Amino acid sequence: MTDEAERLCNEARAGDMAAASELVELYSERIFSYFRRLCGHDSDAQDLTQKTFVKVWSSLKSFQGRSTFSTWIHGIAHNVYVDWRRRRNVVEYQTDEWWEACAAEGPSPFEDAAGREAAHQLYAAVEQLDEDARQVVHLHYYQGLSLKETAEVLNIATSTVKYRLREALNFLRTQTAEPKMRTR
Amino acid sequence: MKPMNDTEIEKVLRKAPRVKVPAHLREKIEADIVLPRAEVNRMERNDWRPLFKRWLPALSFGALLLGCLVAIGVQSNVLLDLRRENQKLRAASQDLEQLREENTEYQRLQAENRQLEQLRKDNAELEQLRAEIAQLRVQAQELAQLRAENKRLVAQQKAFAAGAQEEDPFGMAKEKANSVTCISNLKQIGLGARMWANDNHDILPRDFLTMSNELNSPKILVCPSDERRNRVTEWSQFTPAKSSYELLAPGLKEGPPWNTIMSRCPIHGHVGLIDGSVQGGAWKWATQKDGRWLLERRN
Repeated sequence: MTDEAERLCNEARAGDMAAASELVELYSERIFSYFRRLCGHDSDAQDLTQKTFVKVWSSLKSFQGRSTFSTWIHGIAHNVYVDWRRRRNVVEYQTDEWWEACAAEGPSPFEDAAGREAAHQLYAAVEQLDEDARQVVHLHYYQGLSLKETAEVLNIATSTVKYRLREALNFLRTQTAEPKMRTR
Repeated sequence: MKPMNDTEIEKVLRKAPRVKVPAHLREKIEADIVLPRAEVNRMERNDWRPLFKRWLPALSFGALLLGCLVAIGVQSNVLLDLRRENQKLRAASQDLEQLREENTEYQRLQAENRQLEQLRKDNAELEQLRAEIAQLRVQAQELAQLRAENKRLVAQQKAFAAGAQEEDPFGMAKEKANSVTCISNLKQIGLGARMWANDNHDILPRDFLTMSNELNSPKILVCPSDERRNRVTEWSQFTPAKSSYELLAPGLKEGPPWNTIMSRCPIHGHVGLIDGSVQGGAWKWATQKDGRWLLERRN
């Protein structure tokens, strides 16, 4: 996929609209999911996704291939999100209902209802993490980026990513061990 | 909720449910696609810009080189001019020593010339002084003669007066008439002198010629008893030696003391005072004081 994305990127840079459409097909869902989980509204996520792709087209010539296309587009998405959050200056935490509402239709990855409830509580606990740890969890676990890719997106060291993940896991473990969810 | 370990947590996080993507999102994103092709077209329209940018360093270098060549050419030209001028100056400096000597000689000659001019002036002045001295000597001799003649005339007049008084009554009357005429002459002289002084800041005339405009005729300047002088009728023929009378206050300021004697007749001894009056035979009471002849009051 990485090679495919880079080929498409080169073609799009040469002005190939079909290649650009294919890039949209490949990444629009992932980028929308990223924003949707972070900001909590369809409309905001949609706007941010469109903004991200507009920036992708305008910055396409500056893509040198030093990182993968996936890392590069996630980096742009992260910056777009940071700008949006700075302007909005409000953080909303998703609830269980939110997860129900936003989840796509289809078979659930969880076998039983108890497992599904525990998972929803865990996702809600993730939203209670501080912003740095939350970003790391979103990019590494939800978006499926590697540690190195996550570090490149956030422009931090890989060791920092590991540290933040360790902290996040500790927090989530304590949350799952407690009978009631702690609120911040 | 059942407690989870890290592995279970990671597993659940990786299994996060997919998000529902709104319909038409992809179409909206695709509608916003603006690829760099437009940039390429714009660049093609203005393709002279990259060409110019590409050639700019070479053009700059070329311009700099050309500027340097021009500067070198100008400098070389100036250098050649300076060399030529230097050669000329060297040639000129060889004659400098000779020019210096000539200049020194010229300066010396100029100094001599100035000295000569000064000597000429001195000589001319000397000649003039000599001429004046000769003239003064002639005048002094003439004065001495006049004095001698004057004395002789006085003596003759005294002798004549003494003889005539006894022997010739007609002669006495004639002498009396001459004396009156002489007084009249002195009166006219005094009047003329005061008129001249009136026009010349109250300064009395130096001689008779000076006041010629105030006198009717030079004939009145000869005493009728003076047989030795011829009467001249024109001022052009008149000289001081042709007058019988003397001016005793030439150039004095008209004013007190009013007994200052202005003129006199050496034959009759009449004196004309500065106030215009004439005193007959009063010379015998005349005294000199502070350069003035004064007529002492008679008791």
